[in-house]
Amino acid sequence: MKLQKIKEIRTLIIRLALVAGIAFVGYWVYQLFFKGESTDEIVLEETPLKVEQIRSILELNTLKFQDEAVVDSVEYYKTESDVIWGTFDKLTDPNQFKHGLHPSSVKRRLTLIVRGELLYGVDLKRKDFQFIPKGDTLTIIIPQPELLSVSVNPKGTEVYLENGEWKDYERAHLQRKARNKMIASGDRLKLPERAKAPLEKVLRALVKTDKTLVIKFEK
Amino acid sequence: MRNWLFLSLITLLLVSCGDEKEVHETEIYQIRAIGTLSTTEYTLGKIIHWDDEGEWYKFGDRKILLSCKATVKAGVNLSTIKESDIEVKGRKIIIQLPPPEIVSFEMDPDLVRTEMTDVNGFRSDFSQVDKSKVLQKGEESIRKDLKKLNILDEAEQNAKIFIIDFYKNLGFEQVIVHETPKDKRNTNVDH
Repeated sequence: MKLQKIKEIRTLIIRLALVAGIAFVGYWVYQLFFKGESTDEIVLEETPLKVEQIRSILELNTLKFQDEAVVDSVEYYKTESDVIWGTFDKLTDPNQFKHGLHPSSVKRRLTLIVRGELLYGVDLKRKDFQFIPKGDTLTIIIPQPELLSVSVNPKGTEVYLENGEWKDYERAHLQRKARNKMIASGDRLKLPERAKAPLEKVLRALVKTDKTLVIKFEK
Repeated sequence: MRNWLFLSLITLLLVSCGDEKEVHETEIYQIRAIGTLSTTEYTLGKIIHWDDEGEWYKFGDRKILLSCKATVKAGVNLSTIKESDIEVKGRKIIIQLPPPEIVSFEMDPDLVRTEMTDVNGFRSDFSQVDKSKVLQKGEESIRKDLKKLNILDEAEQNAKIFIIDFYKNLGFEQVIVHETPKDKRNTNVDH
């Protein structure tokens, strides 16, 4: 009689474990293969937009440049045992499970694809414009065209790969790196130099004089 | 009016150098060479607030508060002025101003801060992928709220002052600038 009861309890435990196992596997299958990555499910609470500063500006935007940069940060395990323990940790974390299935020496990796826009031109509010009339010539010395804005925004930033845990400042550091890469490619393409020609054209349109107009850029 | 220092200098020059004479047709359309002129800049702050209650099979919820700043510049693209937008009657000129638009939108990543997170139950902490998605929604929300601000009206008014000065410098006595009706504006805020 007692043996019969033990058998029944054992069967019940096995069945319960089986049901829990099926539920667990089902949850993981759903999480890994069926759950769509969508931002539509995010509904933000209404919060006010605070205007902190209003400025009147006068900027001539003579050149616009759109660029894309891939930035990456990787950290490796130092020893073989670190690889084993690290992989075990990832397997037990639902967010890192995928990365644990293929053990590698990569401890953490964050890859971003960043799209941005650079605007070159001149700020007419600057006071270093010089007008030098001499005889039949009017010489205008103007500042070099500069980078007026670099738009690197969340909508243009895609977290392509996140393996391991990453802090906000580390992500911001990568975004800064992407921004600098874009500025560097703008410099490589000599965009500040190219922004000069339309600027010169604009000034010739703005300044009406009978004298010969000479436009020079500050050195 | 310090903003208009450059234009004032040009005006001074024109008064001293220019003679009273007919304005050439090419000079009237030179304004298109300016391209995009940014005239107003707003610095904005917003708290992005998301309560993630999760789905039925997820036990527990998550909350996050992020603070961010955005710098928005607005102006007009003068290169879109068509010949039909300008009407000259002697020393009087009538211009149809292009609609004001958002010229640049910057959300500095260094000024984005996670102010608070609260995760309970069996929920996982916010990853950078999660935060990135929340920030994208935050950016969308700021761009939508821009429509409620006066940024485009101010940009239009400042551009109007610039255009009036520009044509007065060319020798016109009366400059009439017509604005684009608000319902015909392409606010360019959803990009």
